[in-house]
Amino acid sequence: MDMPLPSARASVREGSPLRHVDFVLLLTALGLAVFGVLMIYSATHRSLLLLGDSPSYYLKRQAVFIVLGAIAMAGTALFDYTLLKMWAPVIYLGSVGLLFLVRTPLGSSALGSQRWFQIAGFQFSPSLFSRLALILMLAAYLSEIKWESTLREVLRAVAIAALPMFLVFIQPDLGTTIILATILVTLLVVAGTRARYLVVLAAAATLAIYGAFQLNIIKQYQVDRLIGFMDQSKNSQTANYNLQQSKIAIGAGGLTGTGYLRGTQTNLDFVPEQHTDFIFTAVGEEFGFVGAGTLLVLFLILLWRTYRIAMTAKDPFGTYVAAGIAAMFTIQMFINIGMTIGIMPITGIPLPFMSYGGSGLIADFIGIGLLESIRIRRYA
Amino acid sequence: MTESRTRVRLKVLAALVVAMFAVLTTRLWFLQVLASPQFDAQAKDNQVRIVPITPLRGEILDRNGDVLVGRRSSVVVTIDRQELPTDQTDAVLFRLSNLLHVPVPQLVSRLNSVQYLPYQPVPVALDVSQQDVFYIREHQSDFPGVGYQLAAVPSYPQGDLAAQILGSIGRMTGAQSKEAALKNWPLTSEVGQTGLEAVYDSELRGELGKREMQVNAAGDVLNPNFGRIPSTAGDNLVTSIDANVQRLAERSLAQGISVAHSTFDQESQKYLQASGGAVVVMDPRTGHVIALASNPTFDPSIWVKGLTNRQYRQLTGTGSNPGPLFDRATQGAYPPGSTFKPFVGGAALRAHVINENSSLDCPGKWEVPGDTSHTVFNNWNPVNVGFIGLASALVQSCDTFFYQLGYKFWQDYVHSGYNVDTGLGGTETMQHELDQMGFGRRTRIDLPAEAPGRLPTAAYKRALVKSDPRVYGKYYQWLPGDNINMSIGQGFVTVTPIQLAVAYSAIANGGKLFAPRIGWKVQTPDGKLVRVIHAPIVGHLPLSRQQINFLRNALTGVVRPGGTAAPAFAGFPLDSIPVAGKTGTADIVGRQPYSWFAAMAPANNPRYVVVALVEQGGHGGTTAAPIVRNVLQGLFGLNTGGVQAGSDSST
Repeated sequence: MDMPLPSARASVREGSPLRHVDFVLLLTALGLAVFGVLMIYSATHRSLLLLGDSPSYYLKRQAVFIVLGAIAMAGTALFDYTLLKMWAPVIYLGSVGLLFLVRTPLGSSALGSQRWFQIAGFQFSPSLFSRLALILMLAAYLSEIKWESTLREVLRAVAIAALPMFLVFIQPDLGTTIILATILVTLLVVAGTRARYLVVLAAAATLAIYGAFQLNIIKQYQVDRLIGFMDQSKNSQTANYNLQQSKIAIGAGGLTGTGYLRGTQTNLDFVPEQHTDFIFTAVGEEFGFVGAGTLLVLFLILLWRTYRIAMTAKDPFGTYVAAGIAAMFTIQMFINIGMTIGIMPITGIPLPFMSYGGSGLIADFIGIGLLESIRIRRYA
Repeated sequence: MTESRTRVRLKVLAALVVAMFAVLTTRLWFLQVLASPQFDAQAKDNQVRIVPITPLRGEILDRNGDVLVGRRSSVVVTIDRQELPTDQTDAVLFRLSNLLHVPVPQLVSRLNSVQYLPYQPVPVALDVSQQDVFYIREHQSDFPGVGYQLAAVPSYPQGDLAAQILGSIGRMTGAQSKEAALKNWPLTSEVGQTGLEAVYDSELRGELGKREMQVNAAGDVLNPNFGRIPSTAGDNLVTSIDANVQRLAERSLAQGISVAHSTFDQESQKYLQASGGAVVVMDPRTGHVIALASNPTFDPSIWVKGLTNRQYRQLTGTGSNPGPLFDRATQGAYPPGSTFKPFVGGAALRAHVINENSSLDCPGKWEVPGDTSHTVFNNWNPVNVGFIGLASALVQSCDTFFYQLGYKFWQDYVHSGYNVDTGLGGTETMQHELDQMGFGRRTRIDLPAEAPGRLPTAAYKRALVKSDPRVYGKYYQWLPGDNINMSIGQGFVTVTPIQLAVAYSAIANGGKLFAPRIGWKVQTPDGKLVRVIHAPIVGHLPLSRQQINFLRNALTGVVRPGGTAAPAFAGFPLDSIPVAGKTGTADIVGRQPYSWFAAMAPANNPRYVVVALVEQGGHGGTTAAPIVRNVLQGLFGLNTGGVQAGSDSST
């Protein structure tokens, strides 16, 4: 396979789709992933040494995931996304099927939730791919219906999203449920759904959330996290420990940070789950406000390029897919960083491209591949 | 149209995304720039555990540098509770108890002490022999968690010398742990609790050091030497005590007491009980204390060895019969008897009740003029001596002379507006003058728990009598007899030996009343001077230089033929070393007389003031005066073969 590299650009044939590749988007995504792998090393090397393991264990694995992700991205980019419109129902049903399967004994569970398949030493989480599947399916459906959709059509779109949402919610995976809901709302908005239907939907969603609390569907730890978020002064609360430690690490970073591999909170394991959901705290401590700001700028560039792709896509399907992917990245980034600095409740949502984990990373890169595919074919 | 609407909505969403970035950036700015110092401190707290390093405590020395309280190292056996398996605790404690001969309950109570942090080894036995330590090390599997360490404990190379004033150290109390200066000290720290150890604790204790250990979230120590601030050893306290003089004073006192024990008291028809006593040796020129003896005494190393409740009760004694811990020199308040007379005489001169040349008669007994109850006040000497002046009255200790002074003060009191029926009004001139001489209030010596003594007033008597009329009678008003009793140091008036020493020092030095000091210098462990401790002057005798010299000269007669202490000073080289002194024999109802003697020498330029007191020791001239003589002989190098004092090192 050929990875389009900047230096290879001149050699690209005139008229070839490769000419239209958005290298800024591509390099930003890769940059984030490399930034991420460096922070994963920082957050894990010392405790790995203490356990007698290789300090680069997580570094190497994540590097492998990046390579796999890049391959998946390239493959996706080369694939004509318009064909995906027809394949969308299959992909969607396939992802729903996997979400069912993961609940059977084939799936693995940990910490009270059933989320992944164990395949050859790697974990595969179908819920992370269900995000892309839902984007494709909703984009395909909404691009088929006429403008000024009827309530019936809106409800049908809601039903499409509700099925995977329900399945990830009962895993339980509240984070992915929120992402899927965001994708749904964003695509309904972008597809021009009338404001009053959106209001009705919002009311229904509020009722559903209220009902979920009333029927004790929400797990106790989720309630605790929410209480911890509402009342951050009680730092003795167990549920609040993550948040406190996370804020200490980021706050201790100050303006310029402690320096790479020199963050004490990062090195000494004070922040739990630091290489996965709390990877941002390592950036905050070791590179300070400057580093955290740089990270935000990278995400801003990523989203700006995605926005451009959505605006310039040749068909509504492309626009919707790009908007869905933008919504996915935005909500994940906002909730993830927000929870580490105490402005969002703690939910298990990884930071795109940076958190340790193969499924998420590869899914993120496939998202970039889709965007490139839309971009490349915008004049075709 | 549809397309443009999508674009509008995308733009709105894009604006929303930009707003989200603004929110994140603002929040990060707050956390990382505005509130960063606070989080920085929390991050340090998170990763650093501080282990305090206790400094070596300073020593207490005498004026010649001889060690009064040293610090020696002792092998302490400790138990680390984290390493002692719960199911083996009983077995290990049983083995340890057998090995060290410490009862199991004692080990258990020390082990369960809440004063130790969980990761601190708990000391359970002191002064463990090398042999026992070797045994524990060779059989470490039988003693999981048991370790040992060297600890510094006080040592007393002079034995029981000056036991009451040196004081003790002990685990800090709850109140002490809240003091700002002790804030970071471990609760197990030993700090001064009594005596000089308590008064000079802040200088003796030194400065705490600390070791910082870096830990991770699990509490594993990653770097045991993350940071280190060494402790600063405490300074040494050099006292003005001269160990030789102290020993001389203590032995003279003990000898005097044992002589008293074999002296038969005609009045009570019993041998003298001589239940205790005190000797104070002061330098009247500086206000420093050279010796401060209290009898009975004890071995201060009991504080280190630990003591049982019963031992402790014996040491403290009871309120009316205090034990060896009670420092009779500064904590005991006794009626001064005739040793009070120079001050009453001085007050009379000052108040112009009499002058240096006035004469009053000295009959064998005396009644208040016009007293219809005919209450008789006796002189100790039944013979009528005739008219004498104040000087002779002091030399002969004529009570009836002083009764008349007391009565004159009474008349003065009535003239000033005192109402005998109500017990109110008037000016208490006698008490006012005596108060100026330092009586009725603490000398503020550098020892804790000093007694203030008592200078009775009409208000005091009123409160006392009304508190229990069945004991004190119906007369709550101040009566002439109260002035008359006070004039010879009887009645309600009490003084401490140190108070009397300060007052006599004032007569010796021309009037300066010192707050006496035992502390003389503070030095670093390697001998550098930190500060000199001066005895502050807190008052002056309200007398002219001539009046003071008059009193001092008068008192030189006391030890010469015709004086009350003449027998005790027979053979003393008074021509080369003139001594001015005063005997005192104080009566307490139901007890044998309390024996006093106060002296200054050489009388023409006093370098020493010596005060001796023996509880229930009989007459001042027979028990206390010989003790003082013995001390003076030692101080001036006159003892041959007997107790010898060191050279006069005071300057």
